[in-house]
Amino acid sequence: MTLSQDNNLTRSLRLVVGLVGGYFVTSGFIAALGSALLLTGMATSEALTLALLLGFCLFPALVIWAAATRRLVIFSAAMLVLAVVLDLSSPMLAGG
Amino acid sequence: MKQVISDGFRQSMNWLHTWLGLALGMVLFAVFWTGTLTVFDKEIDQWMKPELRIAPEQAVSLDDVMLPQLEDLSLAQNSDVWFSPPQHRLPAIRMFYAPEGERPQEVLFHPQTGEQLELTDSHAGSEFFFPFHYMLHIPGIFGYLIVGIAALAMLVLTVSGIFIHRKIFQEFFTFRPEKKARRASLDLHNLTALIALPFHVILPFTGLFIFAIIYFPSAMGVPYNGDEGGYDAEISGYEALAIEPAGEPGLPVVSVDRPLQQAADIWHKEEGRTTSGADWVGIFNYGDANAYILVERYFPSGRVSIGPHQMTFDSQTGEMIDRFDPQPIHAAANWLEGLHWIQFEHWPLRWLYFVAGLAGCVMIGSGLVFWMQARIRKGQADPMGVRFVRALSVAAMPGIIFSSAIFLIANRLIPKGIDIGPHRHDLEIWAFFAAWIISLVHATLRGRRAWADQCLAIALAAPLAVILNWATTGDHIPAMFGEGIWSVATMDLLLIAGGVAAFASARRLHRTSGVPVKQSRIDASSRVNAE
Repeated sequence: MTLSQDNNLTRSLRLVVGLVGGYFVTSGFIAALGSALLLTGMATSEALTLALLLGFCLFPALVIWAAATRRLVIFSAAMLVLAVVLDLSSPMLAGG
Repeated sequence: MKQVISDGFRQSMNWLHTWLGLALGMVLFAVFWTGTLTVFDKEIDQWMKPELRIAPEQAVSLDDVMLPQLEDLSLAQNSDVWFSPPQHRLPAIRMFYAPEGERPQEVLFHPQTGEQLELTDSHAGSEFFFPFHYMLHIPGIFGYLIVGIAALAMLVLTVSGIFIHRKIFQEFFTFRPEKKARRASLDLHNLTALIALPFHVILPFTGLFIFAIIYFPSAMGVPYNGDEGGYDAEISGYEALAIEPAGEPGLPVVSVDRPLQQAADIWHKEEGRTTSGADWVGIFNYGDANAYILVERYFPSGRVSIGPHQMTFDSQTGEMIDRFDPQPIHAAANWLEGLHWIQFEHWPLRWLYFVAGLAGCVMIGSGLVFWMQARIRKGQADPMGVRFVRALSVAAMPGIIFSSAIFLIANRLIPKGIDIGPHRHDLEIWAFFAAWIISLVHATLRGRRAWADQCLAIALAAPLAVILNWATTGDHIPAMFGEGIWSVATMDLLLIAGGVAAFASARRLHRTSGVPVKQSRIDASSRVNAE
């Protein structure tokens, strides 16, 4: 089912998934990529700057994806899993 | 042939564009409007603080003008002192210092006489419109978050707006003002969106990046093992260059001009062209044996990029001790940030930003007008919903412009030395918000006639500000041009031009809103639906 066929509640849910889920995935992405790039020998501020620049491209893309996906439930679950994995892995990467 | 973009996806983007735009369009207008004014924040400062109307002069010696001031100001031992030499948009010398246990203080000096300037207590452009642009003057973090969500929405709106158009290039060249309001507003929305498309993408993106530490504090702390301030400390350079105080009294600073000249020579040699000197020179550990001078260039002239380029010098010998420059990726990010900060010395580009900012305001405004016209035309939406959106839109668009003019008028009417309890600058801000509330109440009561009324109010208020400026300071447009103070003269001219444009809009709106065509159409449509 696409957004255009949804009722208002489901449409609003898409926005919430896009904004809230997108936030946590982006946050995890920035932390994980910023930490992972340290392993390549990059300076911390450089790694984080690159992660931030890419993160701010990812966030709106996730909002748009949430609005357009046909499988909102699967998409939401994927966002949740991704956010958890990224958030858990980033301190390990930074420590490594 | 298979479509590249399916209709379902296009419809999804259409819905997203419509409702996200409606939900955040008014906040975006306020952000765009104050951002557009901030393009000329220092010029607004000069208008609102007449003591800053100083004709720009060449080559000022900080040694002659400022060093004698340091002892007179009774600075506490070991406090840090910052000077900003006169800049092309702010011809005064600025000084920041933080006596121990006190809040940092800013003092401005006349560049030739060294006399301390007793400025009009106003937040003006750089302390009112500028912060409003990024945090709406909402205390705490909420203002930043609202503007951050609006910036994210702007990115989503821009991308979704591109997807929903089938004939993007055709629409770029289409504007039919003679058509009905619905068609004309959509044409104007498309035209202003496309004409400044890179601006509409880059500005919200870079705005989000600038405040990343507020939006993603914990994520930014992870690579620094939980230290959320680690990133800022590393990129600023101050920590890398810092020297601990010796704890013993030191000799007075010999020269500030010499390190400034040395730094300018080094930058000139490295870049192979004449470039601006430092923006700031700091005396650290002032009064201590380990006092040192930090010369910083944050906004190099002739370049978009900003960012700290710093050198430290011994306060006695004048020898360079160390230097700090941004690393490659951060230098690229500084270029992106520079696109947002607009501190470069390039007037045509600055005016282009101003025009693009106005185009953004028109784009948001015409989008909201289109939404309302579409509902009125179809007669399907709840008229209460349209009335609600209209009232908010009028207050958000002509309302905030009118309030900005009232802010200027209040600045000229409130006496400089007024002492009635609250700070003078607060009175100006209250005048702004009072005018905004009145505009909302008026818009709620007057319906669609509020558009014309408030445009007329702008048409009266804007030239009134010019007249009051003349009456209270004696500075009229020809005099300002004659003295080389272009900022004030140009601002007066813009206010007059804005007033004329508002008057023309009011006349046109008055003609259309006075005839109850739309209502009869709704009634007819409702009858058709009922049948």
